[in-house]
Amino acid sequence: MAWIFTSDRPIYLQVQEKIKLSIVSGEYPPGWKMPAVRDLALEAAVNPNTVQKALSELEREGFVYTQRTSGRYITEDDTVIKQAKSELAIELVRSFLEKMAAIGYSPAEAASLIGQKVKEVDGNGDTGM
Amino acid sequence: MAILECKGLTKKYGAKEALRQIDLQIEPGRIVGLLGPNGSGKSTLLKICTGLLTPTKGAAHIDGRKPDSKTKAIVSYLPEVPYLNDWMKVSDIVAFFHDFYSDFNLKKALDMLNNLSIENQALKTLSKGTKEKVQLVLVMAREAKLYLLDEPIGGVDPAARDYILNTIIRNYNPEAAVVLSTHLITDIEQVLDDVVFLKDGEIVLDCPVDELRESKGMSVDAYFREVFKC
Amino acid sequence: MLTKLMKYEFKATGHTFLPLLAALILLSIVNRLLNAIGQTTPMVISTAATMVLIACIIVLTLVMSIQRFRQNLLSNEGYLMMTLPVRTDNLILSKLFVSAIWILTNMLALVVAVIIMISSEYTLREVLRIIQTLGDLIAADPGYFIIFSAEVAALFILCLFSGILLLYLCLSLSMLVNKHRGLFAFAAFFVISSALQIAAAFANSIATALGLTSLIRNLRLELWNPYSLSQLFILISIAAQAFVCLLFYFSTRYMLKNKLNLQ
Repeated sequence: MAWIFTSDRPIYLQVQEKIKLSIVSGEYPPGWKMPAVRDLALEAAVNPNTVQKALSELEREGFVYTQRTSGRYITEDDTVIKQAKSELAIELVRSFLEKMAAIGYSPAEAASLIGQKVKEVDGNGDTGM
Repeated sequence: MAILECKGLTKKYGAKEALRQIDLQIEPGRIVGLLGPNGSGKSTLLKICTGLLTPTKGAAHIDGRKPDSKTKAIVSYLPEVPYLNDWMKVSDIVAFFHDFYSDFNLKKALDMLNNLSIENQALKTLSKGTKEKVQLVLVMAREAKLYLLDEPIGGVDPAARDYILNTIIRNYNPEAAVVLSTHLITDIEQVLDDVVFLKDGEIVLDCPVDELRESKGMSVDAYFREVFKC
Repeated sequence: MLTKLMKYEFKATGHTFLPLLAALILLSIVNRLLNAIGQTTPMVISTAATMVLIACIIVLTLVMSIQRFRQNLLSNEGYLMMTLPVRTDNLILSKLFVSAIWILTNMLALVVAVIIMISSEYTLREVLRIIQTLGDLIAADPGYFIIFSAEVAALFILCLFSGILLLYLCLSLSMLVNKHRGLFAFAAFFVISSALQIAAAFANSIATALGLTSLIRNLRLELWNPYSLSQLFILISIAAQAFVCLLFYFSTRYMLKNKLNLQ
């Protein structure tokens, strides 16, 4: 399946984020050998140059590294992945609070609502969260 | 060096100017979308690059040469119209391409035909859609320096469109450039490196897709609609 | 590349002509056999069929010359043919040569078919007699015969080429218009062939005016035997035909290179 892109931002950025998400979520585990640029491009249905650019950016940020002869691998450096994970979480919370503010919830109210929801989930214990 | 370079290219049909002062450079390794509504001069531009038309003024250079039998050997052109004759079979037209183009990859062509489950029928018995696929296979199975695809995705169903875009990505070669013209840009912009907008025979935009998205904050598709608003 | 183009040209035309020629030879043999048996009604039918077939072959030979050029180079198929990595010269020449070869082959087949049909002891004896007389003539002056037949062959081939090239030129000229191309080509054919005749008549009258004709006539006979006089006329005709061929050829080539307008 082709990946879905939003129309407002450069595609290479979106490819980059998508791969980063796969790394953070563990779909691409540390030390995993990445597919070739062309295969990745085919999977995403994206221009190979765009994929190349996204990978270069990821390499610059330390998420992937290239072994001269054998290809590209996901970093085994835990700190990089952990940091990205927390950055991503903070970004999600920030955008959540922004949306809550838009419908009239203060951060404190939003937090208490979350606390309430968490208790419910724990009480049922089987919601799959 | 640019694989395709147009300088001051002008084409008149009688008094009507189909192309006006086109300056364009396309480097190897790029996939370029030539975008514009019907009648904006896209086909005319491609036909000049293939040598099917002679410009009124200016010139198009392929790998530094004006179109001739040498440039034709490195240009793989998919016209808008079906050109298959009615006396050959699929295997005959494949042999024909193999005979005339030294860059024709026979194995690749046969694999592609096989994947599309196209049988070795007489060409005249093929459906319109299958004919288009055979032509696409013949054109993409060449290892050319410049692919000129005129409206490859116009009027095909979504599955065929995906197949075509997939084929373009699969055959990507950093030494070769692909120029594809279209008036339907939805869902194909992610395959393109650069876009060139043609309007009434003139280039109104020539830039990388991601640069456009970054500076305008909108997709090429949305920008296209804005530029060519009726 | 010329041989490759010709190979495909033969393939494209062969499957039309070969069965027809085979049928013609077969039919003429049947005809001959029926004639020998003396069956009148079947013989009339098969003779009529042969005549129809002969007419078909003649018409088809002309149509094929036109159609292979028009359809293969100037219609949709032109998108394939005109973007091949071959020279325009080779495209034109491949069509010209194959077309000429078919015309010659078909003429030969017609002659063979007629010989088969009318062959009898009497006609065979007559043919042998003619060949013998011809042989005697050749033996009298073999050098002259070789030159003369080469000249006649050259003139014949040039006439054939100029005829086919005229068709090509008219078809190429029709690309100047977008509608009614057939009509335009037809008109061009009449205009060009009349222009040629006028030009020939004009050249003739100029020659007369300059006294060239009378000069030739009045030349002393010891210098000009009848052989050399006919030689002169053949050579002039060859030169004129060659000129016309080149004119048609290069005009067609110009049209294909610079004024291509595929539909």
